[in-house]
Amino acid sequence: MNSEHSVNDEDLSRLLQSWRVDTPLPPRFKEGVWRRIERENASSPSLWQQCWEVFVGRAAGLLRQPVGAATYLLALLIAGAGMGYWSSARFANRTEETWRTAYVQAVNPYSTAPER
Amino acid sequence: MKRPWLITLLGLALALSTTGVIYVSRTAPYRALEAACGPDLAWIKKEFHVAGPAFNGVRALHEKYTAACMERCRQIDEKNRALSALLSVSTNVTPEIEQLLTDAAVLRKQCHVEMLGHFFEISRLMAPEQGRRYLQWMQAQTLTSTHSTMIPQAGSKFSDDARTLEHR
Repeated sequence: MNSEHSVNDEDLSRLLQSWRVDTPLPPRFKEGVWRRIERENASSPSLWQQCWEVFVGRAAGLLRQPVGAATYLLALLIAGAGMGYWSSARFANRTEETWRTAYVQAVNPYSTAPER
Repeated sequence: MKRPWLITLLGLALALSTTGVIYVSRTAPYRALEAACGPDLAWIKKEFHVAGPAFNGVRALHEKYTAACMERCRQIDEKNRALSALLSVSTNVTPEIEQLLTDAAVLRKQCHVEMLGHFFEISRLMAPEQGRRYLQWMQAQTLTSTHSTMIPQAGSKFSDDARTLEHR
């Protein structure tokens, strides 16, 4: 059995060695290959782009899941509510300051800005 | 790929609308109060919890006081203008200048007396504790020393000049 295998291997080896490619390469083939390599390297994304694509891919994956989408919506709802409370508190403080100043100046024309 | 983008946009719209709804609902009372009372009386109403007939009384007193106050200011301005005209042609303190200064001082004193009387009247229309708070705060705002800026501070040009004069 072993001798049969070794005979077949030798035949195969001889056959492979005898195989010659006669077809000529297209003109400037090597140059074209290098040009393609350069183009691929030039168009490859920067580090930021790669990070962004990874982020977008993962975010899209999360959002496709019901739990992920619900968590995202809930987080933005809470953020929106927080922003609403914070900005309305600022409005209230500024408004009360304006009112206070208006009253003091209405009753005392010689006044400067009132202290709190 | 469309669905994640839709959910992203939906989330942003939800955040913005939540912000808007909360902001508008929490600031609406302030806008309504200012529209109803004006900014000066709005503060009185909110800060000292004055409502109903008491607030109507406060509003009436305030309007009466501010009208009289404007008239007193006009008279004081008249005296100041006359004084300014005299000072521009005088080289010393004449009896006319002295009289104008006296008149202006009398008007300012009357102004202060009316102002304090007004504060007391307003405080009586409030609940006792609120009235006390109102008086304390208004007195602090209106009776602070007007001479504090005339006293030279250490390191100022005027204090340095004063020390130089003393040592001569």
